[in-house]
Amino acid sequence: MTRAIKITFSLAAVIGFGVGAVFGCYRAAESSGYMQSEEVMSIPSVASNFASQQFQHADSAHARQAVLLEIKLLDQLQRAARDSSSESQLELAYTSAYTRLAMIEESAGQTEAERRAMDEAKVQFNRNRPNREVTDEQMKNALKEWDAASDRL
Amino acid sequence: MKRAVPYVALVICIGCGYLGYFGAARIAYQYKQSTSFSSLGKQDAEQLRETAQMTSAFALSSLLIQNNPSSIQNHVTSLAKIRSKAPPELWPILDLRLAKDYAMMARLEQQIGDSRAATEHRQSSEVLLRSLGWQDVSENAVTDLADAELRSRMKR
Repeated sequence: MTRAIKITFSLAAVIGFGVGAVFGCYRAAESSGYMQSEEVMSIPSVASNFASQQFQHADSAHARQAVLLEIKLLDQLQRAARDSSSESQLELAYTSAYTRLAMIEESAGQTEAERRAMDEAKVQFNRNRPNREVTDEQMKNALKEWDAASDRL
Repeated sequence: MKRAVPYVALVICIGCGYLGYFGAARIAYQYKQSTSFSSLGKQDAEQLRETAQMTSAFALSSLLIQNNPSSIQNHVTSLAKIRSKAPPELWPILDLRLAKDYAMMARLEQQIGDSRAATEHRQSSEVLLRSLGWQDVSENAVTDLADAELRSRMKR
């Protein structure tokens, strides 16, 4: 094998490897982004379903733990949220979580904790809808209807 | 020999391109995954990654359950694997799914007349539901839970 042939083969290998690596990195970034958003989207739904089931069947203490876990996971997600669209999705999840917490506190007879949770739910709800007035009952009824619809699925 | 050189070079180029593509994709994917949520601190990012991986695996595996005892048993095994890697604060979420799986197994076993296995699985379900604070863990309540789960799977 002559020196020229060796150089040709080596160049072919380097060029092939380089081009392949560039495409590989591009594909990895794309797949990783897709996987990450799929994983992130699963957090609110899994936590919310669990909180909803616990709210319907468990005692106040366990139902409270479930909804506090949901709020904690939403807090983690909010810190990582990079754009306004994911933040607005989180606001709805927060609204339902705090409304549920208020309903748990109401059934446990904790009036002050219920008020705090309901106020927080309204703060979250009004974040993107500053002029919209909603009553406590409307928010609680909306959550009950949402839970009933989820159960029917 | 000289005539074959361009063809051999092309084969080498394509072969190395293939190796470069898969090697780089694998390494870059693992790197991207390990640095996701880097806007958070190291510990928070790690915690969120673990949570996201658990909830995603859980949601996906729950979708794959079919209404037969062997499929549910496979799901119970896969849930045990997910649970072993999940942070302890998320265990209740998995325990509730496990309780539903046992309830479904018990119901299906009852329908085919395997009353011993049905009783065993119903009791496992009751223990888990009790640990989750469920107020009604009677036989009827567990059967209702199983029926609701089986119905919702049939709709999918």
